[in-house]
Amino acid sequence: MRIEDRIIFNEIKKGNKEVYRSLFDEYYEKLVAFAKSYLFDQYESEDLVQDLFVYMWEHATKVNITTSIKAYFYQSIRNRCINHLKALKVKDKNHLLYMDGVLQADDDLQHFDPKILTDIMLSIDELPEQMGKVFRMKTVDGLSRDQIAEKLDISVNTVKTQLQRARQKLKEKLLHRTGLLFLL
Amino acid sequence: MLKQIEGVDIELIRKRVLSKLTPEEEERFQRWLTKKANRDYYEKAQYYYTKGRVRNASEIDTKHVWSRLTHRLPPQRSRLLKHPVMVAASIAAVIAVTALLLILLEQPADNVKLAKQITSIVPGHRSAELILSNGQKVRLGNEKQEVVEENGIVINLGDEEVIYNSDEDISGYDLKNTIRVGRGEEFSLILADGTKVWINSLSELCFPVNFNESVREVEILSGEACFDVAHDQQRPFIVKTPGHNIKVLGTTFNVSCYQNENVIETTLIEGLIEINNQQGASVPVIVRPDQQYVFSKYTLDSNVQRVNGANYIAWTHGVFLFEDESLESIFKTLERWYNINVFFETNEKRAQIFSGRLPRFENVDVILNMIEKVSDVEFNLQDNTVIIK
Repeated sequence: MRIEDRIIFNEIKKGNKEVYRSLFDEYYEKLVAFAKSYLFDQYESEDLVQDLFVYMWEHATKVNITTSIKAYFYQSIRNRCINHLKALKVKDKNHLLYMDGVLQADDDLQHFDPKILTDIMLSIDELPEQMGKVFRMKTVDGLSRDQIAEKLDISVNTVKTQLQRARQKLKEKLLHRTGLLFLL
Repeated sequence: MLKQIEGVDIELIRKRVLSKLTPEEEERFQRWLTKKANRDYYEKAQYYYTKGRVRNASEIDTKHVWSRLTHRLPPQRSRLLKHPVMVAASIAAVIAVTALLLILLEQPADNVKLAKQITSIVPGHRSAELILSNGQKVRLGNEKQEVVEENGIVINLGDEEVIYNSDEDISGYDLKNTIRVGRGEEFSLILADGTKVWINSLSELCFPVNFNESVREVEILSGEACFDVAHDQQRPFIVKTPGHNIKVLGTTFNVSCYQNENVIETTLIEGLIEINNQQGASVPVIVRPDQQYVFSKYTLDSNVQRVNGANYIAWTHGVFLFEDESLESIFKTLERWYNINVFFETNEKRAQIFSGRLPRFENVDVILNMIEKVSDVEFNLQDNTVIIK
């Protein structure tokens, strides 16, 4: 784990609520968006993410993070979602739900499962030039919408539309890759 | 008799939404659907796949959620750390983690042992010594000046960089300059062909003032340098090291051949390089991006390993990046940059492993504080010596 993450997590272990709050502010909505693509339900997703936050606070000394805090968050939500689906006897063999979640999470991509990201990256390459660029800047470089707008000299609204379209297009492409497009 | 319900894959659910199930699949799906919880899930999936959002979607009011969440937390855990510095630091934490480190350490808390004995050891800076072809020595890093070499090539000596201007009409290729970068120094050069070289502390590089038409050849006598080689198909670029040569066309790579290290490490970031003319080896070896060629000066053995290339050139961007490195190796680097001596009280500490990204242009106590924060290592600073307990 990187030193920065280690320090942040040490603060959580010590019971530093301000640090905990800033983690909450940073990740709550993103994680809910991620969970929603598994559960298709706003409240269940919010409950699940809140449970994780409570768990992390109560068991901080037992939580063992090897990668990064961010990766830990997404991986934990993924596990909790998969457990939820297990009770319903629903499987996600080809990671369709996961890929959808990754696209919905509106976060940079570095912390997701690299095996599955390859599929997404290949699909980004096939997007129209500017759309691909905008999506890449957002998800790979981790820039904000404002920063992208400034860099490319376009409006923030254009960035938003481009991102939304990119996500839609990517979903279609991913379905295609997984052999499901013929169904649409 | 009750039949066990088989599971369904999400693919089957999607197909069902699109009414594309085969009769057998439909039968299986219907068996799955007999459970109420499953029916609920299917209805929500159906809504999501047709409308593109969840059925009960609503705006999140994070403030409200936060206050609900805090009620669920056991009260006794919010006892520690009401120190204002900590609070200030923590808010920055997630947004700018590196900034956090700096704020935390700006006013070290009582338990940081170093606080009492900070003797402000400043980081290295951009300076070096340039030796011209006639042996004249010029101090770099102070003021800007221009020097004209014997063959007429103009050299711009900037305060952070030396630039060799090229001139095709000028001959006299055998004129060479040497740059010597001392402890606590670094510098960069732009060679006559446009190649950029960053040179790290305690390093020495010898290069021609102007390159000839067939080959570009420089020699790193010791230390570490990062090359961003200008592409030129006609003239390969060759870096001679004390153990072997590195031949490239146009690429970025880092070479480290310190005298007090047992190995010469060549790390490729981009492009392709060829290692040749190695002592005791006859076949050239190709190195690809994110590979590192390691040559042992004593056994003359060599091997290629996978690395994260970016880590090895982080120093050219003003940071130290350590990935699973031993304290001993980390302090070898710090010694060169801070012009300090390091003494380990026990051998066991030498082998302790660390990862981290540390600012290169901070005083040494900042760096030591950071390492103390995340480990059980204690430092003692006496004059220019760091004692590691």
